[in-house]
Amino acid sequence: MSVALGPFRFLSFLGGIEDLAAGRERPEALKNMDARLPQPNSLRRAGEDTQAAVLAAVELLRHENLVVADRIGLYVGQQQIALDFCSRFIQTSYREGPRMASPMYFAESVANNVATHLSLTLGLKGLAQTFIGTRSAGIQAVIAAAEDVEGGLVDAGLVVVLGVATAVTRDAYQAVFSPFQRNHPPEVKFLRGVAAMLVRRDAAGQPRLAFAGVRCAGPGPRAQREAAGSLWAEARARVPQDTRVLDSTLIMCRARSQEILRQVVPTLPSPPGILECYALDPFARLLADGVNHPGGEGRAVLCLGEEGTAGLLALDGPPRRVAD
Amino acid sequence: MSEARRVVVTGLGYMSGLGFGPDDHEVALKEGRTAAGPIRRFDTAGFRTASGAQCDEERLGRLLSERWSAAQLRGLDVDTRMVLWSVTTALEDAGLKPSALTRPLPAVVGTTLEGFWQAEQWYGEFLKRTALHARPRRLRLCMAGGQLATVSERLGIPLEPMVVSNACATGVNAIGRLFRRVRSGAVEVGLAGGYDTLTRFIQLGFDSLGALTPKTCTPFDKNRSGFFIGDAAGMLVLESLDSARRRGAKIHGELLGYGESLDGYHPTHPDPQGRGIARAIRQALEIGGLEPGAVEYVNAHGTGTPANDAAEAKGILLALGDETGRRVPVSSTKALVGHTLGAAGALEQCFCFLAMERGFLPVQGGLQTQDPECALNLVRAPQGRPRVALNNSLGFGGANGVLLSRRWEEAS
Repeated sequence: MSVALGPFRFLSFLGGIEDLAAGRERPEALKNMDARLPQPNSLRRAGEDTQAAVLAAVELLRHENLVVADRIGLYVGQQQIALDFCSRFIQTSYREGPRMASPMYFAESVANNVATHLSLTLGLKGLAQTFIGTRSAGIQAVIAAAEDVEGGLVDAGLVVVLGVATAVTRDAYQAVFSPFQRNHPPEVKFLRGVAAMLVRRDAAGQPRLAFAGVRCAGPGPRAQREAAGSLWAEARARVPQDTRVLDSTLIMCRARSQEILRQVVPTLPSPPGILECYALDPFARLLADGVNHPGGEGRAVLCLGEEGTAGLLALDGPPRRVAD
Repeated sequence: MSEARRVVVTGLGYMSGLGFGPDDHEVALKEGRTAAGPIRRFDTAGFRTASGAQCDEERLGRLLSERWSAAQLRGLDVDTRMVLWSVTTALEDAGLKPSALTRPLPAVVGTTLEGFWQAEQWYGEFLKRTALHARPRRLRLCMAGGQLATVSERLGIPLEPMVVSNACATGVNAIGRLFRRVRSGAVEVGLAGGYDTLTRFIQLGFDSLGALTPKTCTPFDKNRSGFFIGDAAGMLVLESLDSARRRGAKIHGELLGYGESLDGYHPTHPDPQGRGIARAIRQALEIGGLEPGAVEYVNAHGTGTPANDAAEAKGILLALGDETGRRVPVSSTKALVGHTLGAAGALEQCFCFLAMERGFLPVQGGLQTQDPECALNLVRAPQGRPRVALNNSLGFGGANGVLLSRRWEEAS
């Protein structure tokens, strides 16, 4: 693909990427979000994750001096539909009766809700698509943006990837991956955050997208190895030799997933400060690696989704970010 | 940029509350028969509205069992079964054998809810006891990628999945994305479509918004009061004309153009002037190289809600011009199959090809007194043989998508 990817604007509720790469937390990082948002009133009913997404996009566009126009496409990647709002809606309907469930929760649960708030705040009226697909959702969004930029439909693709972790997700995954420790499941910490990035034909100083792809061949580990293997086989010719290949796998089954990946390509361990953040995870790992290893080598991240997909994103250099 | 390729549709697999495939749907679309009925899938006690259009799950099971053993089908929920049936049917219709595929098949699939039926069951179990007592298997199955992974495994076809979720414009957006890929030459053949299932969550969600009708769905009617939700899945095989000719595949029709826009107006309400959908229609026509006068049928989004229908009617008139807009036959098939959410755009595109191939116009069901605010030529009788069709979709957040297609004639 002949497009550039970057820079990235990364925000999280536990601190900037430098904090996470160093293994420290700075929970006050987004405390003053309202003051930084251009139109806090229009977003006041939106969830914090949506607000963070808008903030990251606004700060990225401002940094790059990009004027919003129809020639900017919007591509949002998130693991699933907004489960937090779904659960609030369903919970109220069961506990207090169907007619007590708030329509606001329902409206906010729609998957393209983040894209809606982004388009309304930024004034976007052109292309906008939302992709859902656990860990590979953000990679799908980058692929779509690259296609549209290469095809000349837009001059720039604004890609926004969210890592939304809720109590529902945590409980659910603990149930899945610790079935024999139901009463005392292992503690797993989550990271809520967002990465906004730009896809353009040319952008001075930004690495080029060497490869991006998603595959699935079935639900089991064997099929996942096949999917990851097919991706890597296709990517290998396009990825620079000295590329640092990182893995992105669900924390709760990391050892098992790393075993699958090891059979495909040796991957490098990521810093422990990157907590579970689903669709954001591949991007958080790329950025954290850029902090800890500032060399000019290419970067790739190979991820395994819990439902059976494998995704790969490769850059021909280190990712560049907009500093805090 | 290289010259754009022609994109044809060589395989269709679709199902809804009206039935399975072209024959069931042709009859119902000509008669204007609705699939709405009482909801049996979940308890609707306390809901304001309790009707929907469920698919015939028993028949779906029988159709699937013609191809797979009981063991292979065990544990598959209704979402996965619908996707499996429609994908298999579309691929068979296209004459694409899994063994003949030399690379992973691109699959751009739209859904608004993924397999939310499973999530809902899980959540019900969770609320009754605790999260740790709910059945974990449901969680993998509730993810859209999980359904595609199951399909990939059953068919033995590696997929390049992309899951679009753009509210009610999802199905059209998914087809549009694959259309662009095939048109640009990036892909020779791929699968696109959408699916969604009637669940308690979605019924209650639209119920709480007051969007569901307690009576019948009557799009563009003066007394319209909303829609009902329906199960559906629609999958299409999109292919470059060169590839289809090389394979000697039967061609259902040609996709000419695709337009996409955002209203940028309100999180849930459409732009009342219809400017967003008008932009998408114009874009589709421009890409397809056709003038508005060439359009011979419009499958409208037409949800039957006061705000949507009025805005869409204005948008159609704005894009096609007053004279053409008032003349071209328009109908919303949601009166018959219900609002099928992520499947809607894909299912309605299948209806467009069906109507063009078999030579009829889908009747506007439920119409009694046309709303003068919706000054369109609504289809009252099925006589007609459209050559060019527009397919509109409007979604939450002002997401609009429009597909332009043409009947296949070898000389065209």
